[in-house]
Amino acid sequence: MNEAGPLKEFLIPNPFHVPEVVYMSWIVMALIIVFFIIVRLTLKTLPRGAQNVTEFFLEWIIKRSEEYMGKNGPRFLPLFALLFLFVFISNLLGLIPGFKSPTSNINVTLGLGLIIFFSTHYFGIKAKGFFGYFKHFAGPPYWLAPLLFPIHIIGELIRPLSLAFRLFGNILAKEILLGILATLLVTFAFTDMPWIVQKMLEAGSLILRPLIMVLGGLVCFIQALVFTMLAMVYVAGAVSTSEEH
Amino acid sequence: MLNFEPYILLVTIITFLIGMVLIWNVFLKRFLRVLEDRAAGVKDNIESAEKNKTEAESLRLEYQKHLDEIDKKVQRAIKDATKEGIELKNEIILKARQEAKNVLDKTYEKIDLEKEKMLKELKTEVVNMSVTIAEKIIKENLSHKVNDRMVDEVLAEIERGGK
Repeated sequence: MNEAGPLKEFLIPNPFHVPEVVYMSWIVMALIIVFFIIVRLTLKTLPRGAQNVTEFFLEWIIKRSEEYMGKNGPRFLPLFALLFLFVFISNLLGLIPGFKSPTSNINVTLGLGLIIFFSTHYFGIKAKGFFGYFKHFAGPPYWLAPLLFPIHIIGELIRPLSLAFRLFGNILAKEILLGILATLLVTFAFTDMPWIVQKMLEAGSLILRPLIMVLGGLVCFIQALVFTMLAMVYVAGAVSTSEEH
Repeated sequence: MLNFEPYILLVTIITFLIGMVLIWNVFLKRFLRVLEDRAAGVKDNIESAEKNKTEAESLRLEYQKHLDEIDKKVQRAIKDATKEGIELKNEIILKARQEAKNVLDKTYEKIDLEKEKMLKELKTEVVNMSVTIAEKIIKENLSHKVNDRMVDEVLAEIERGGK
């Protein structure tokens, strides 16, 4: 997984010896903020270049939010926009040799899951009131409340875990696969075996690695999309009123 | 691989929340304002274009009305001018005919006068010729008295013949 090894300290200095995953998540956040600052400085009424891409992305988030949450959707733009970007760039970061996806660490994905968990209930309580919000955990039918309430509570508690493990598992699998292919390439190069077999195995690893990287890029996007869409669905379920349903 | 590290979890949450606040304040607020401004601008432009279109349409109708009025005036003027021309033509023809009639009358008068004059001259000439002839025929033995009577008779005869 940690492919670059000795070069890493030189290329990505970490003077305060912050844990790698935290350091990587800071890099991701810094990249996002710097990008937004650059776009902010060149913000024009008639969009061009990076502003076009940013507008396309943010409008997509706004539209999806509106689709799930109605007119309240755009209020959650900062949450969902940052969530998607953070997860997507974190996922992609692992494709660069020497870097590691923060999302390949369960603590990061669980942190993100918990943000969604608390946001969901915070906005739900804010929209419907404490009792109004928790009422829907008990029914209908309300005579089944003793059974439904614990089931719903367990379901709610499982959500951040399912979000976290899905993302973590996919990204970790991608990183492990890339790591294995890189290791195999080196291993085959120094293994004592017939020349032709050695070259074939090396070639196999060499061809497979870029293909797995492309596939990894796709996985990065899909996982970010799934994570954000599920977060939207959870928040929408909490804040939407019966009329909006 | 699955080590639970509350420190990393907490830092992730704090990093995310700080990032969200920063992005909201640094970029998204301004970005949404730009989007709203643009939407308002587009709406204004569309409204302005529609207003201009309506104004242009009303102006076109007004000009069309003016053109119709001008066309009517032109048609009326042409009609009047044609009528006036015809009247003038008739007047000129009438006047020309009148003048021609006058000229003709004067010519007839002149002809009559000339005719009379000619007749008188003819009479005198005839008389003179008659006298000359008579003088030649008779030459002698005719008294002065007889001569005068003969002259008068000849004249009377000529006058009868002239009428």
